[in-house]
This record gives sequence, structure tokens and C-alpha cells, in this order.
Amino acid sequence: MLSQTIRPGEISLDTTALGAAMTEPEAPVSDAPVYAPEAGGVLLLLALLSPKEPRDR
Amino acid sequence: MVAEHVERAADPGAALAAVRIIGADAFAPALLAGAALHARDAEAVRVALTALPASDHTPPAPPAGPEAAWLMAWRDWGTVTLLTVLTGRDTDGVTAARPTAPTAGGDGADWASWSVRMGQLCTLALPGLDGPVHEAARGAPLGLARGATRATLRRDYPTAARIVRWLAWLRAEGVALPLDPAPLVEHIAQMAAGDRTALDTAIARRLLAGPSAYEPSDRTGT
Repeated sequence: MLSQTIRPGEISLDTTALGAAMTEPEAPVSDAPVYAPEAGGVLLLLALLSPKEPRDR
Repeated sequence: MVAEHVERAADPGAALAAVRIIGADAFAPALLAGAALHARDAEAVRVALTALPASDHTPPAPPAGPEAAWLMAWRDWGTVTLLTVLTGRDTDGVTAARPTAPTAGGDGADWASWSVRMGQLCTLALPGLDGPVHEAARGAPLGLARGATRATLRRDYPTAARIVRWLAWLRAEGVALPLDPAPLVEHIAQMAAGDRTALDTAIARRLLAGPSAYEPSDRTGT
């Protein structure tokens, strides 16, 4: 039996750590994608540098 | 399963702490899949609660009282209540007083912090349990839906998985929801990592899948 092999009175743990594990908070920093207006310039540059479409003959 | 984990562990104290952290979810196979609760597993949970006893006082609900102690008290209450119900007998002195009811707020301006707090109590979102926390969830499905969506947009998938469990529980209860939790659960399952989040999404899937092994008349805690 488990209660015969383990003596609960001999077990000591950091209750603060136990509480932190039981009450896991939300992530402090959001990892959501954010709007980056400067990215528009990069996209425009890439569009200008891209090769032209082949002409039909 | 639980007893085997404790018996094979190199550090029994850490293994018992893990059982204490899992809490009422240790009974999820019995509640959701109809698996028999082995007497040794029930004893392992009881030993975990004996070795690391629950607090004998009931802290006031946040923000009036300390949040961590209040959350732990509710989770312990759920574990002890299900242990009593599923074993059908006295828990040999292992008790946990029912804490104070949560403050209302799911539909107010503080839905974000409220939904995170409800997520921290997600181990109570199981069939067979009922009480003030469940009433709070029934009263604010919009707050939970907002909270789950916010956590998903923040890419905080562990928090999203915890909150979406309440939405799945509400769906199983037949409560009308402002969003369909099924695709959200699948998205979280695809994006998230970690054992605890996998457990939360698995339980949410089970809750959404259909009737549990427990009928509503078997609920306890009211």
C-alpha cells in the first residue's frame, strides 16, 4: 500500500513553489503580431525590384 | 496510473506534489471516459493531500484577499469533493472547506483579469462538480469567450486552453455561447506545446464530444 511505503510526515516541499505551480498566471508579455507601418516600405521596394512579367509575342 | 507514477518516482515528494498540482484532473478519465477509478489511485491522491495538506481556512475572494491562496483553496476543494464522491466513502480525514464565492465581473470591464482567474480554476470544469465558480461561468459566457479569444490573440496558449475548458464545459451544459469552442480548441491544440496544455485541450475535446460518464444528477458541491 502506498500509505505504508510513503510517510507523508517526512515529505517537505516549498509551499510557495507549489502554489506558483498550481496557480499558473498568464504570460506577462503578449506575443501577438503587431502592426508595423515601416514594413510597407519594404514591401514596396520588393515589388519594384521584382522581375517584370514576360511580354507576349 | 496515479499510484504507479508515485511509486516509480525517484522523489516521492515531487511526485505527490505533481498529483496535488494535477488535482481534480486526476479523476478526468473516470468522469469523462467512464474508466474505473482504481483504489490505489484514489489512495495516491489522498496521500498527496495528507502530505501536502490543504489550507484549513477560507481566504476571501480576490481582490479582497490573496489570489493564490484562494485559487489553491478552490482547486483543493474540487479534488477532495471528487475524491469523496468517486470513492463513495470518507476520505480518512482529508478535508477542504469550500472557499468564498468568486466576485462577479465576467460581463464587466474587468473581463480580462476575471477570465484569466477562471482559467486558473479550470480543474473545476469537470462533470460531477458544481458550485459558485460554475455559477459564475454560467453567468458570463461572453466574458469567457472574450478571455479565450484574447489569450489566443496574445499567443498565450496555456491560458487560452484553460479558459476554453470552461467554454467546453458550458457547451456540455447546454449553455448558449457567443462563439463555437470546437475550432478554438483545435487551433490551440495545434499551436500549443507542453503536457499541461495538452491535458487541458484533451479534456476540452472530451467535454465537447458528448455526454460524459457522469449525469447532471450526480453533481456535487451545490
